[in-house]
Amino acid sequence: MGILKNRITRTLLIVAGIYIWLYWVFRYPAVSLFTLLAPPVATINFSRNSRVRNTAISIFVVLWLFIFHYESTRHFYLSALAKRDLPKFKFLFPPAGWIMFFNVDETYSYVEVYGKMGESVHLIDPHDIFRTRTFGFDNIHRNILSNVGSGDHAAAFCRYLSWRLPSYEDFVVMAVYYPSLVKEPYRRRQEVLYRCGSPRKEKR
Amino acid sequence: MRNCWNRLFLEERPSIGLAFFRIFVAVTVGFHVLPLFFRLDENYLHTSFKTLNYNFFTPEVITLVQKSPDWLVWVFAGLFCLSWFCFLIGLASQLSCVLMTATCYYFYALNSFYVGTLSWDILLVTLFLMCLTPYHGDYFSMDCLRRGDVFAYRRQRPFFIQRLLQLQIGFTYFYTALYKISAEGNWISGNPIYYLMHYPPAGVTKYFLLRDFLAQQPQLCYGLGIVILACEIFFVFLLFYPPTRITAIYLGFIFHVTLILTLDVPAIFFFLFPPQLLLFIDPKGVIAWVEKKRLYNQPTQRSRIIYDGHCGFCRQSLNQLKIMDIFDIFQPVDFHRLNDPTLLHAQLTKKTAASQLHLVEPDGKLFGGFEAFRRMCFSLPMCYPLIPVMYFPGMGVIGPWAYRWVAQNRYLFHANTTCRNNACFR
Repeated sequence: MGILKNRITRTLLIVAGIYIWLYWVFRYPAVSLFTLLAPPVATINFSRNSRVRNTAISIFVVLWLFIFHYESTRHFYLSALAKRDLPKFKFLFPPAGWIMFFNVDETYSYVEVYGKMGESVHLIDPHDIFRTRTFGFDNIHRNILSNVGSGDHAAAFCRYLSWRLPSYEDFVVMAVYYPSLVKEPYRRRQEVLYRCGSPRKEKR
Repeated sequence: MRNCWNRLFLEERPSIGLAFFRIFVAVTVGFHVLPLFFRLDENYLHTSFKTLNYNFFTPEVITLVQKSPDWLVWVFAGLFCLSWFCFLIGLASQLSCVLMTATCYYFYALNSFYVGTLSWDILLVTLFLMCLTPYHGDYFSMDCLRRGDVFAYRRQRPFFIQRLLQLQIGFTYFYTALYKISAEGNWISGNPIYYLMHYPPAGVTKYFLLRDFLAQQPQLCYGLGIVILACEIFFVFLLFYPPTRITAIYLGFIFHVTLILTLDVPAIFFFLFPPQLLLFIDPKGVIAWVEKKRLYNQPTQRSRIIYDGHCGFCRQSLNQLKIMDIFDIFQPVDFHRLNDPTLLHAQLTKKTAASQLHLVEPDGKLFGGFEAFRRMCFSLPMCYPLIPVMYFPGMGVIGPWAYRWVAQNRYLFHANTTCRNNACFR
């Protein structure tokens, strides 16, 4: 290991290492977040030299703060500044920053599911459709059912409904829309999003 | 500049705060994920309704995970439960954290219908930081008991993880407020709290005491919205400025309690954020307080634990008890070194002392065996979770029986060649 004692060689090796590291970061952009942070994290965990460890911590902190603030502002601010969609680091961070309740207007919509049994039609309690219970809040009130309103999910949701509630022959998925909760709180519009036929009925 | 950087991130400080936070992270993850396993067929097996998050994962990863047969889902559920429990009790805490996070990712890729929320993304960022180092296993953990360091509670570690967690929560509030007043936010142009009070029964607003009153007060609602905005914007500064720190922590607690009482939002906010705010309490101050309590306890008459010093298992257990005894309340006494145990308590003889462990409290009360353990749990913060177990109906019968069995076979639990076959007791 005499070669490592030479200062120039050592510097060249470090520079080469950094180039290889950066190559991997750009070669595999999907996992670039992890590739970028892996060397400093490994050094923090395995180095016994406090100076080396502190350098690794500093590199990690700088990278992390950059990534954190980049992802916090990318969707609404940085992309608008750059006038193009900037790349997102996959596998971490929400798609559009920390946007909790950032836009609440006076309209409201949710989804209702009706089931047909013989000649009668019932409004099905959403808690019977998705029975998973949670601590401290109600997922149905969080409007989780609105996700099934999209036509993309129609086939999967119909399949799920016929498995979950086999006693019903058909289902109708409806959207309920309140145009203004403040001015007209009792005015609501309903429209059929899609219908599900049971496999039995479809065969007929 | 260099000093400031060192003080912010590199300086070594006690990791006790991070260890305490680990428990809340585990509880939050458990509360969020474990209920999903009660309905595995509705959530993750081939019968479930799934939505996939292509913003978060790459298509390749989602395609790969979607190929999972049902037995693999069961395996991952088992792996999650195991790693989650190990993380909760701090057994191989870094490894268990990495495994638990990996299984969280698996279930998120498998079906994001329930877990795919903003608060879940926040939790993953926190978990990512927790995975990086084993510092959170330094205390309140099985790891510290295994290491056997009596002063584990004051172990010093680089402060950067705790600092990054502080920055994370501070800036999460800041950006939340920023989005409310810019981008597509409408907290200035509209009256979101007022609208929320008018949501229909199926909506996100709970039926709380003041809801009907607020629904009639648009100006008050608007004012409340502005106050919330101001608090969120300045929260990061209030938290980092020492004179306002405690006020900010109280404000954060009030905010999250109000949130869970009024809105049906994921409880991650409630279980994770308030403990994360406690990370702003300087661990040096916490340790100074602990040391002061220890100093205060030492000259006073402490509770004495009378144990068998010839038993390796007992000595090892006593060492673990010393690790857990953060306030130095107990004084172990080997009864073999006592000429006359009755000096400690009138009912204590060599024969009774040999039969089981005893606890003599400062007021002279004597407890033996299982009852002594029960009493000790109240004085050891690490044993607080055991209190409900110790007092569970039926434990009054099972506990003493189990204790007697362990006490009678205690020489079999360690490798002492002179005491093979439990000869020292018999």
